[in-house]
Amino acid sequence: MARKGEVLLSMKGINKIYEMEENSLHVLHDVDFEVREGEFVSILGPSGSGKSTLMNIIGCLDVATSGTYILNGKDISKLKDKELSKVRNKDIGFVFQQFQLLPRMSVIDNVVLPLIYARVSGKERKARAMVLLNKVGLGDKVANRPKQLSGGQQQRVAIARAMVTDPSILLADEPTGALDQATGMQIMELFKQLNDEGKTIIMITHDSKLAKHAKRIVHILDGRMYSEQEYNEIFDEEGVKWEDKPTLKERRRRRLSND
Amino acid sequence: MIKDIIRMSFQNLKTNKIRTFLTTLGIIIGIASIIALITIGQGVTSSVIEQLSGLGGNRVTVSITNTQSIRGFTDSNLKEFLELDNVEGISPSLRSYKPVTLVPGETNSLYNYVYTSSASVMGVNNYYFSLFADGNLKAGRAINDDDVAFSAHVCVLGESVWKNLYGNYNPIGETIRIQNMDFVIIGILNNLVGLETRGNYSVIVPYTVAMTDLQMGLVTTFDAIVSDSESMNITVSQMSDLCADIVGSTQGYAVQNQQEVMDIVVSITDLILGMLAGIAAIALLVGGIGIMNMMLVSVSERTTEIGLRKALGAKPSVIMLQFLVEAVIISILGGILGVALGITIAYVASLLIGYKFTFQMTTVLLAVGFSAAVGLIFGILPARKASRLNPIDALRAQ
Repeated sequence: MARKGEVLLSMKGINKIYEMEENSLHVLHDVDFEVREGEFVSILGPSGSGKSTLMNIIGCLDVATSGTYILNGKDISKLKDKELSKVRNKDIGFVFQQFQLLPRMSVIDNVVLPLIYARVSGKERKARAMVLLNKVGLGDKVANRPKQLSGGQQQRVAIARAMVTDPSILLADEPTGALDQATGMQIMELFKQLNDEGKTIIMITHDSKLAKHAKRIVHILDGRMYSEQEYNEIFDEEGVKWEDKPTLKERRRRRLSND
Repeated sequence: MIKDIIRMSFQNLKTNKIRTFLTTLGIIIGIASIIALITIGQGVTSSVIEQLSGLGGNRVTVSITNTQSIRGFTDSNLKEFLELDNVEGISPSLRSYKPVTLVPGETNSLYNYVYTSSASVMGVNNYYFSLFADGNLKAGRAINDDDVAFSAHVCVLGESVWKNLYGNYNPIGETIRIQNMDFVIIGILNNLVGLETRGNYSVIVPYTVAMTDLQMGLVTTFDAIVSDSESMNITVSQMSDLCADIVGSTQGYAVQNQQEVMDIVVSITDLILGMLAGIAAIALLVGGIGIMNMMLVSVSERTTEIGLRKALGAKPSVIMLQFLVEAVIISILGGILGVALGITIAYVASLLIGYKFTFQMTTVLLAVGFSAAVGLIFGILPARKASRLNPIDALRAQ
């Protein structure tokens, strides 16, 4: 595993094109993206920007049409279905907006699921799951069904599940989207704590306020990726290009001159 | 891991108890009908075989097949057969419908009016009882050598006849009038099962009386008991020669070793059983389709779950295994319950029909194995479908 500060994830020239019957849909354009060990990065973009597609590629649920993707030293673009399963199991910890817990299973059974697929023995599974459930503050709820927990608690279970294989990256897709403000903040605090302990986190969101909890923000718009600096130079607060909106440009200029 | 998959499969099946049970029902019915048919068939066949080989020795059935050249064997003809080497005894049989009357009076205490009915009258000797009704008397005694030798006017009632005439009353010692002659009732038969059930509906008298006083004609068929099975072939050919002498032709009679009859019976019952089992197998096929249907529904219902499992690192083969295991669990469950139901049906049937109930462990294992195979075969398609789901599409389907 890479040490803190070393490049963990590296994407170069990633394109994703969906071939439809008549036309093709170019969702990602030449995306270059790098994440170092121990970072907490937000990928910020409105719906339809291509951020979900990017997340799927980062999470090895999908493969790019072209470009290279190196994760933890492995060239993902060359892997087969079976090997991608292994990468998802060992290197990625998913946190979803809708928690995605299996309702029929107890909390602890949900958390050990990735370890079953990693063929970890029953005893060790339970021990590792307990450590994480205690960490997220749910050590006393292991036998409950997900439906018996609040939304925030369910998301904590999902985070414990994502962390249980000790993945290289925690990949969170709108992790607070189904939660109220206060609970959402608690989840963000948990992320910060995990990041402080060294976990690399990538969070996908459309909410600029939420994105600010990360140490670094990258923007994605119409399938192109921009750094925070690039974005501010090109777009206004609403994601509209300066050149295209002269009146807005005027207003901003005026505001700047007023300051 | 397979242990975990089995545990998860049970969890899934438990959450949809009614659906699981209904799906299982298809297999239960299929397996139960196969097991019941095979077990009943085996029971009946073994009962028949047991009766055919009843005395332990071998039997030869001799019959006149063409009554135009000769009307039957006379009593002296029968004695000639009896004198052959190795022939231990012969069991002739004559039958005819005759009026049977109960006349009120000293000899008939049950009725105070004349009661006439028509019944099958059967003329036999003591061998009939040892062959077909050994130890099967409800009351009284069987017809013996003396009854035959002295043409005694005695009779044994078959169970149905007895019930028709007397209900549950014990009529031993009372008199019954056949045609216009009085006969003393000396015994009552139990219900006979297997090959010879005609006795149940007959008034059984010594064959000598049937031939003479009751004018029931000559014996057209009889069983001979051969004491030495080693010399069976010699005895059969001696009998054939004797028949040819009596009939005066080489045709119009049949001498059949009972072993041949037994072989024919077995092959016929096997054929019928095979056909019935084939029909029952169709029920099993329908059950298998039911499993496939349910599993396909399950796959589309659990699309999100499948997507999640894939995201968490489940290989396609693991997803496939999970759905296969569920299908096989359903079918094995159905197989076990089906075997239990089938055996119960066969057991109840054995009590009702009266054959000997037996079942073989191999049948049970075969049935359970067969049902597992059905689950496996019909589970493949849904399991493949599940394993090939694209995790992104699967996660998006909510």
